[in-house]
Amino acid sequence: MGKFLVSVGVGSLILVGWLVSSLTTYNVGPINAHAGPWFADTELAKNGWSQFQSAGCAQCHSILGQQGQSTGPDLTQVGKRWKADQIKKLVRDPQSIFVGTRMPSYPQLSEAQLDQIASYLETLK
Amino acid sequence: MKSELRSTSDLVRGNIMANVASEARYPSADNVALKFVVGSAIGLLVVVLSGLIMSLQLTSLGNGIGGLFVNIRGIHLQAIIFAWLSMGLMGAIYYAVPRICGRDLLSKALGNVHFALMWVAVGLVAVTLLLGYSEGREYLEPILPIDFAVVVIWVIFVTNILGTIIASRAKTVPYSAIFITVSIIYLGVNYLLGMVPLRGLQDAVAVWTFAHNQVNGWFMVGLMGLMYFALPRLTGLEDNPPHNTKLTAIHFWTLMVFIPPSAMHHLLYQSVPVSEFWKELGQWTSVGMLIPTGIWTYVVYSYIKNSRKGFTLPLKFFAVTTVFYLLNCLQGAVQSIRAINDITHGSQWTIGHAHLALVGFISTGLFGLLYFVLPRVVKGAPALDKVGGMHLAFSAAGLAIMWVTLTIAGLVQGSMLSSGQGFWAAREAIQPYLIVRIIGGVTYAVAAALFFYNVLAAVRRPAETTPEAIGRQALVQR
Repeated sequence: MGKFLVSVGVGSLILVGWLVSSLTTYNVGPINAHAGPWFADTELAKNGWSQFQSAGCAQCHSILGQQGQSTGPDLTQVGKRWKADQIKKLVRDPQSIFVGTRMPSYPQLSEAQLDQIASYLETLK
Repeated sequence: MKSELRSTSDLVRGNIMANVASEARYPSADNVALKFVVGSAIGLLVVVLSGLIMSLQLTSLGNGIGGLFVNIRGIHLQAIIFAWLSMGLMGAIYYAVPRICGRDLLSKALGNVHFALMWVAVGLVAVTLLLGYSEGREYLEPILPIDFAVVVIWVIFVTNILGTIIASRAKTVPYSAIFITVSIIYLGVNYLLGMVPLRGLQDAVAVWTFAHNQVNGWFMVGLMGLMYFALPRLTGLEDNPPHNTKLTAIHFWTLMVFIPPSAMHHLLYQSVPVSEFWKELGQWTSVGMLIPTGIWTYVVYSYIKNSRKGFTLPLKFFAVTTVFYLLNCLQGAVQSIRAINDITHGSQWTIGHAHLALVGFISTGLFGLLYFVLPRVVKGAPALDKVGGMHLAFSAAGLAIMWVTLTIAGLVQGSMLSSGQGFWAAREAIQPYLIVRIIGGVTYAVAAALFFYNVLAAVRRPAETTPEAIGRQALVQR
């Protein structure tokens, strides 16, 4: 009985220890608390990150499960699924790709702004 | 001996029936275990049915099949975790623990309440997920109120099992009971951590630690504990284990140290900012898991090789499960290395690996265990071998087809995504593989149906008194 209690106890303690300490892993916090995005490496994409903030994309979309709302899909790996030109087309007129989607179109965004947003989102892989 | 006994077979029957009567010392445990075994067989049908629907939906063959993929996926996951694997393991634990410590179950009523609440929870999960109420966190789809119900169920379970062990006041408790108890603790502690909805990085860490420890800590450690219990009894090697018993201690402690941190290998390429320290740790502890893998493979091999009771049906399942376990751990260690994870992450390869783990390793081992438990908790000695052999062949073949096609599909898909050919092109390219996968799924569904038939037949068959049945009964010592 002694060996049993010690083994089960120590095994459980190791488990709890790892669980608690893994939760303290380095967290860079919400994206907008930092000077810039993580993955955007070109100037175009960095500007796209600012445009993403100011155009209100995060009202509906989150990245890495943080910062945004969950009305629209999370965009964490959107760059794996969509190329920049497809993203551009989607943001300009969502109905042309997803018929009946709740996402509004953004006619007020200029071609340059769309380019920036699309190139930023493409870096999210 | 009375004079009615005229033939040798009558003599044998009289002796053995007397033995059986005196050996059925754990009626509560047997009763509860049988309920869980039948319940798990029903759960398995839900698993294969939802899996088949989804595999059709992923291809052009599934046009018009109702039900949202995301909803059915949650049901598939939850059914395999709780309705099939957990219920089956719980049944085997209810059978094994009283025998390990020589005392009947603490409370039959608690066991029955546990069984009833399991089905209430499974029903609630199925209904809420079908209606679309989901937390959207992988493996943790059920909504928070159901999570609390699961914790209550776990408390009932752990009270009954730990209570039985402690109340037995056994002087020495073997490693099989230690494995089993630790696996139950993993189940509960993990769930308590995983059910709390966190945000962002911490949530990703919690969800994947839960998913990883649920499979490694609860299913795998539990299955190993139960096999440490069943193997000596199936091979007649109770008193002289064919391996160095220190290996079991090493096995246990390497598992305890390596399992929790290796959870981080799920987050290597998840675009989640887990610190480098944890990613490295997750990678290397995953490779370290090859130590317990090697020990376990050797232990099962040495038992089967030295068996004094022949190569019976449960042992055949144990042999197959060990092969799949070895493949699974080799594949797991390889895909934990970041250069390979870059390609395979988020592709069908991962789906293949998940099926190899839960279907190839855990389910096959559980089939073996349930074929060990079933004849011992029903009346008479049912002949499970005929259908059981077909069941083994179909399940191994179905899983092999599924795993191989998904792994190849994953390599195609992963390399196409990495080279920037886009999601839709990759999706089109793997369509043929997904269609072959359906064949694997159908083959496995046949195996599940055979298992269900076997369980029902064993439960419904009246006690036989033919000499053959008595011979089988003699092999099945309770």
